[in-house]
Amino acid sequence: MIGLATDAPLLKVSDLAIEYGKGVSLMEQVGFSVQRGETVGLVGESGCGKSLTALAVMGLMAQNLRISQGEIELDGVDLVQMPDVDLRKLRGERMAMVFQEPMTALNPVMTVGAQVVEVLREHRRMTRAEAARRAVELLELVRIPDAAARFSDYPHRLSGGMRQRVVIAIAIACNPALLIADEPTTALDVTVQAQILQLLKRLQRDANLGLLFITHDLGVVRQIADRIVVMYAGSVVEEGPVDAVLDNPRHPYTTGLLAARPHGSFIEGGHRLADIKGTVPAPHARPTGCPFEPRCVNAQPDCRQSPPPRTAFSGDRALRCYHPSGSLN
Amino acid sequence: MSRVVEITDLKVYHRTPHGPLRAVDGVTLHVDSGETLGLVGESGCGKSTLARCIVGINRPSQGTIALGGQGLGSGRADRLSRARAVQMVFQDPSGSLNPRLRVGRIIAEPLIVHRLGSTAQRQVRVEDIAAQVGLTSHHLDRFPHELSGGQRQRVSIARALALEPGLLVCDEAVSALDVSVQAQVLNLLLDVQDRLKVALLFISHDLSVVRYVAHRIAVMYLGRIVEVGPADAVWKRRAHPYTRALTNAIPDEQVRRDNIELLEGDVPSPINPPSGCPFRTRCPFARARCAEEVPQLRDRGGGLSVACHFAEEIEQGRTAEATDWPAAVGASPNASLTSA
Repeated sequence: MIGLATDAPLLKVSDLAIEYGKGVSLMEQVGFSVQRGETVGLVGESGCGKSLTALAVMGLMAQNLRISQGEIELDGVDLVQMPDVDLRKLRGERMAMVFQEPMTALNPVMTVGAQVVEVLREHRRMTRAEAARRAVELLELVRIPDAAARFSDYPHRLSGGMRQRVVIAIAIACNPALLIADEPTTALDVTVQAQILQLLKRLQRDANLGLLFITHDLGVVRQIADRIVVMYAGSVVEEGPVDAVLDNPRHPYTTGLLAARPHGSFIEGGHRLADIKGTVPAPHARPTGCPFEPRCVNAQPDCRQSPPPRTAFSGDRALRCYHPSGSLN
Repeated sequence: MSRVVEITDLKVYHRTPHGPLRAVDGVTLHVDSGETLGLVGESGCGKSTLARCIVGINRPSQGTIALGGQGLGSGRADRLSRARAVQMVFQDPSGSLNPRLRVGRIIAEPLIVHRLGSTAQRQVRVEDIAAQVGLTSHHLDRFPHELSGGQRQRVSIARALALEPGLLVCDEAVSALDVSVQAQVLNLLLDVQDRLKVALLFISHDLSVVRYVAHRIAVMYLGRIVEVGPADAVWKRRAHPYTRALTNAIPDEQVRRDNIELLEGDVPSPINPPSGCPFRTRCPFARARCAEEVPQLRDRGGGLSVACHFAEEIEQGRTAEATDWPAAVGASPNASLTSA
């Protein structure tokens, strides 16, 4: 493991802008970092750019998209300029990804064991037998019962939760430093979701992984993350330590998301959920000023002039808003 | 209070090469007019099959469904009268709306099928319903793909309301929506219910959403109802260990957890369900009796019925904070994630 500068963050995304077609901007000025041993929760609703950010880091963006500005640094090395052959070596080795839908992430005509072996043999000098032994260990590590027998099962024989465990085993096979999990529990039942969250948390702690956890669920983020990055319509609107942000949200979007979660009982309490009016604008129809302005309860005329700059406060928090909610301190 | 639907000992078995798949295995349930019954359970528990039987998409193998006091057959007249009694809102609005019809026509479709009103009268009615669900007249000329997910779900709700049914079955109707839009649609459903006094069968895997909208909650596991009663009693008393596990798994810091461990494993196959209690293979309280005898729903007072041999013990254990439980119970107060 060669890190050029050990005090640099494991992953540093700065001023990232991604475009589509003839200059339709999908995201702008996106920046955040992930330290070793830290879990960063990237949250937002569909279309905010959270999955796109993950794909950009992995170098797996669709061909028709391009990074028009900014850097993505892993261990201080810029990935944006890196040739594809070198990126291939990093993927699976230094950084790995867990996807939302385990059935489509796995190859249906390969046994799960063979799929773990494939990654090991791609990145490590291992004989088939060594790789197979290691694969069984990995399946045990992700708590698949009777791992040696499951090794030769095809994915369709496993339940959703077990499949996601296999995907996780593949992702951690080569001890990556950075793990990106894109909605890894969204397709699962709640009781299974709780198991997978517990597993990811344990693996993260044991291997001192940097974990970038993408989700739309603020409850899940509170359980797993140290820091939270809230995205809306292609920009980061608020970031900071997870408890500080969720206990005292300052961006009206974060406040709105928290209030919109069903809590208590309408039948007994009679309170309506505070919804956020309107919908997320399409990328080509985003406002010129603050992207959230058309839906914002705090909106003022100056919000329409230009996007709000990033303002740091309380040491480790930051915000892009001219008229934040909550107390000023 | 009159009943809009009464389900008695409903069974739906599918034939498979490995034996019968018991999707629904003896469910007795009712919905009163104007109330919301929340039906909660994990994937494969049979909640959607149950919903599809009520609206007539699936046929039950055994048992009866009476809508508005009438049992229904499958002839055309029966189908039409069933459609006027109950309508359904599906999970995926893009999959349940015809992509080649304009929104106005989609909402008018039930009126056309039932030959209600003249074209002009239908137009007035469609605009009226659209307004009720928060759609404006310019939406009516659009195609479904031109609308957002939340707006499409409003169209589904409008279409379902066109015939003024007594019961609206919402099968995961807000699950595919983002949280800000989900709140809009939940508020809309509550408004519609308040205005039109329609009963809702609200099906979801998400106990906190169900708790928010429902008067009563039924919890389903492997084709059976394991607990049913007033929403507050189901939520607070947690008398069935499965309800308890579902509540503990909700990723919300405001939900109180108790010292029960995470459920191990997955839901067993409905082709080869466990003997006795269907939940015993994952239950931290399971004992010998659970493998031998199927627990029946028993009245636990306050309108709550629970299908568990040890419901008394489990409920008391919580209130008294006594830890005279089997060894499977974790000791830390926040066992759900802190215990490795």
